[in-house]
Amino acid sequence: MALRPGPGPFARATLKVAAARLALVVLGALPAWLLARGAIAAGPATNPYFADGAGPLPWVLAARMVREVGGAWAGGLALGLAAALLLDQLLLAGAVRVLAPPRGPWDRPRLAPAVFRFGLSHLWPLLRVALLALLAGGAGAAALRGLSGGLHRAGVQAGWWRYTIDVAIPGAALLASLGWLALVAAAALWTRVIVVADGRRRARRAVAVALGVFRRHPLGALFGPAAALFVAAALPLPVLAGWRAAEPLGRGGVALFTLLVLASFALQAWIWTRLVGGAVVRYARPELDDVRQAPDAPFGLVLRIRDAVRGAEARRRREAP
Amino acid sequence: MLPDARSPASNPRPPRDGTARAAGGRWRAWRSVLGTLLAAGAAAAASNAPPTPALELPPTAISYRIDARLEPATRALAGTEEIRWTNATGAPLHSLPLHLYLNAFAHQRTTWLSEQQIGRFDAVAELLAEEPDPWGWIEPKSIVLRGPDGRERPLSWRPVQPDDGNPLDRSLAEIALPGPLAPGETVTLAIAFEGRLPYPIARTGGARDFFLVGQWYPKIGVPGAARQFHSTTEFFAEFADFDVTFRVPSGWLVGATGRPEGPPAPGTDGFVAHRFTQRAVHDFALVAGSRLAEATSRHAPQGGGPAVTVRYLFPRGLEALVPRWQRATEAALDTLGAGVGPYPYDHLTEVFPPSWAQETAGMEYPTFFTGSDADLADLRFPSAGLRFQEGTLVHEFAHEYFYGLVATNEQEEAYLDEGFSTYWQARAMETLFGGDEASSVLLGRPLLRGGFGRVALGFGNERIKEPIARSPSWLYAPGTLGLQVYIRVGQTLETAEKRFGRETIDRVFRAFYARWAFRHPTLADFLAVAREQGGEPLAAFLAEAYTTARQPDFAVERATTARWQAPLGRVPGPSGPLEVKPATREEHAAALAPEDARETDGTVFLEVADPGWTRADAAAPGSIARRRLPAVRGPAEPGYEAEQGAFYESRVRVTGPAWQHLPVELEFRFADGAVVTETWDGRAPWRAYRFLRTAPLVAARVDPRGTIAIDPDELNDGRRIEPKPGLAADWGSWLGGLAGWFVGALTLWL
Repeated sequence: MALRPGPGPFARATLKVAAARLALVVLGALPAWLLARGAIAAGPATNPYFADGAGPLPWVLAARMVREVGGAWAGGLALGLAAALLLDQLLLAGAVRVLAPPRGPWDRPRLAPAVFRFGLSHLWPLLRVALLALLAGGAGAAALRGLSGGLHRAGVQAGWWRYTIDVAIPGAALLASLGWLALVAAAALWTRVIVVADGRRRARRAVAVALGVFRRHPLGALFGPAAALFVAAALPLPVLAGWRAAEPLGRGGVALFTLLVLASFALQAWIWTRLVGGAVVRYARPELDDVRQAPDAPFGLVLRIRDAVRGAEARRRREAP
Repeated sequence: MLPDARSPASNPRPPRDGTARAAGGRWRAWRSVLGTLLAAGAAAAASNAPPTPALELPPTAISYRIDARLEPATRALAGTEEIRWTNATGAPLHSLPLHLYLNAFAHQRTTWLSEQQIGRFDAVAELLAEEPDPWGWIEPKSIVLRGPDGRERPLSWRPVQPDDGNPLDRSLAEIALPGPLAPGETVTLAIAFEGRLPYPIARTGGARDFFLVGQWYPKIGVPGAARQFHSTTEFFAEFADFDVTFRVPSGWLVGATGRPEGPPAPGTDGFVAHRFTQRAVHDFALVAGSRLAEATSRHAPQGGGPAVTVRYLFPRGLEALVPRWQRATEAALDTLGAGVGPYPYDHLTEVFPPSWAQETAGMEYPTFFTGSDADLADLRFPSAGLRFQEGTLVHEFAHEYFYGLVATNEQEEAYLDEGFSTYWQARAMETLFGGDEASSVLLGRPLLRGGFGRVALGFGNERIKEPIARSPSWLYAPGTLGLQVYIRVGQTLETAEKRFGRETIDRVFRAFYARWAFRHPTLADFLAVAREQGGEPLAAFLAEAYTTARQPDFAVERATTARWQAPLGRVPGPSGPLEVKPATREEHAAALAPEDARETDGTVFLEVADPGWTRADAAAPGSIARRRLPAVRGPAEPGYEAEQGAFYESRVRVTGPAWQHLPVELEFRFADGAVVTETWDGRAPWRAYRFLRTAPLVAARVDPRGTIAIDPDELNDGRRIEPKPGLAADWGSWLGGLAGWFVGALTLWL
């Protein structure tokens, strides 16, 4: 069995998945874009305070304008984000199928049917993986924040420079948190691939399998993808910053920067697709057969704790006079 | 209540008036030049030479001779002071108030700590997290009265709490005199005291290697005006002459109010005595640190006065900040020297505390102040481009005039000194950076257009429900003191400047300073000078601004424009009545349009509805007036094409605060490039305008030139009929891209 589809079909499948991923991001941003644009046209654009100054809008004015429309934008973002998160799970399931090594020359799955079939059937465990990722990411960030807070207090008491206390330490904590989130993202991606590839229903058991893969391939399976996801997430930021730095813009400038932002989303989608495809192919390798054979059974922690508690109670009753 | 000690009768020295200043001006100018030349070559000797003040320092009725010692390891203070105090109140006294300010930090239930505002100072819990033993206190061990024959008689004293009756507060005490002290009579008191500086809190304190020694000695208060120490107020005392010897461990750098008298004198106990003297000041502060560096500069201020030697004390390693401080100091000396009057001393000490002691930052003392805390962060991104160092420095320097020399009562009328200093801070920043560039810059983009004051007023607008001028200063509504006494006054004076001209405001301040330096004036005194130097309209505006509760918010409530249509029905026409039906409306429009709308003489017709106003003592009826105003013709709006026979009815409704002395300019801009301006007296709560013209209204603005800096909300000062093309596309698409970034990043994570 080939571990990888032929170059032509694989490239086509990759492009389709990447395009679908790009569409997902654009769709997710669409409500916020429409609502923000409408709110600005109805509000700040009719206010000479924002509309009639020369040069770039000063920071405080820009912040006030964003605050004026922030409610509409945030509402649209929440809506788009919820939809995108849901669709992302479905897309990933479909991507695992179409990017998987073919079982034969007849095995040429199409993306849309794969998304619906595999996405819907694995949706619940995939959502649980997302929840675990959220909890793990939040816990790690909170721990780092606690550490940063402790250093902050120690620094204040020791009379360190304010630069160290208020800039360097929080900055380092922020970077560390982002790094942790990237690791969690890589773990979540692998876990989801494993859920779909193996048809698993137990999210925590899939996490354990993923950890087994990371032990075998720490760089290729964990740190490499984490770095790639970090870069992919950050890609649009320089474009967005450059957009504001080039203010004020005419129609042509707005169009150019819009294209650049879309290009950064496209690159981000392509990176994601390659990571998913890479994970699928790597997971299919024979050296991971033993890892793949882990059962899809609950850990039974609750049962074990209950049994331990009952056993302790029974022993106490026996030993009591 | 004893007679007001601040009245002119209590000051033995007659004020210097303009005549005397004019006559002495030429001699002072020469003296200033000579002083500058001499000072340049004799910096070391100048520290021991007598000062040559441009403003003569008056004789005082009080003197302090203090000898004290600081033990850094325990923060302990101990000392003795001899106070000579002459009763200049004009009435006999049976007791003297004694400020023991450090007791405000003795425990959690002092008046100060009970009142402390979250936001400016650390909550006690946070303070305790930094330092488990932050407390400070001061206690007179003995108070004796020294008679002219040398006999000493012990005096009793007791804490008093006239403001809030808090029995646990010992920030104010009363010394019982053995008998009545007649007017003009002098007593000599010898006080031995001990105490402890707190961990840095509220402008004083220290630990380890840095101590800002403020409010550290028992201080005689002003009879009849002495208050407990409240968390939102500062200090008030009479002018005195000081001779202070302060002992610290060897190797520590010391700075203080006044000038050093001789070199530091090492003792045999490892401590070194530093002696400083200063005439005619009302407070005395010091700084001591073992890890401080120092620099000096010298500058001859514009506006006269002696060349000033400035000493900068700051944490080691921050020498790169000295040029910024020097430029800011020189700008402040020049701005206030030229605008208010000559700085009378030839020395100034500026302290920049380390960031862990930032609670001691930003405070003024006579000839000595603390700027912003200084840190590596000020040399690096993102703080390097911000101007907090300069802004704080020039603000504290401005206090040297209004707190230090004019010396208004901080506990009763904090808004005088703080507000004046805020206004002159902006002036000095303008000197330093120029116009709109006075705002800080971050990543190449300015923080604001114009000053920060208006933005701050806007955020606090809903909370401000009382006038600026209220007393005492510690009873402003919670969370509003800073807005009221600093920003609202600063904005009021900026508005006055824009309305009446900078020359007028400078004239007022120059006269106020010359007349009231060393004399503790009140708001009434300031307004009297404003009336005399700036005229009744200025004084009336200032009085209204200080005494009106709510801030004046002008707004364009609505602005609409619509194509004018002939009215349906039987309408009087130029050649008799016309039956106008929907089908014939367009046909009759041009004929039925009023003659006024045709603007044959180039003026614009408008209809103004004013509802009038009513007060207890006067009223004005409402009216609807039709008038014509000239229009300035500029370029037409892009895309506008005049349409033959078309008329547009535009309506604008503006609202205002209904002040009596705050007129405002209104601007109406039309698509054909015509701009109409009109001045509204602002006395009614609203006005409605109606235009009928051949071009539609494009935008309406109230206060287009930003004259009314006390208007707390700029956002509602204008309306465009149509949104500005491009703004929604630019920012809307950018926000869409930002949303896409969120979506992309979060879906990558989850």
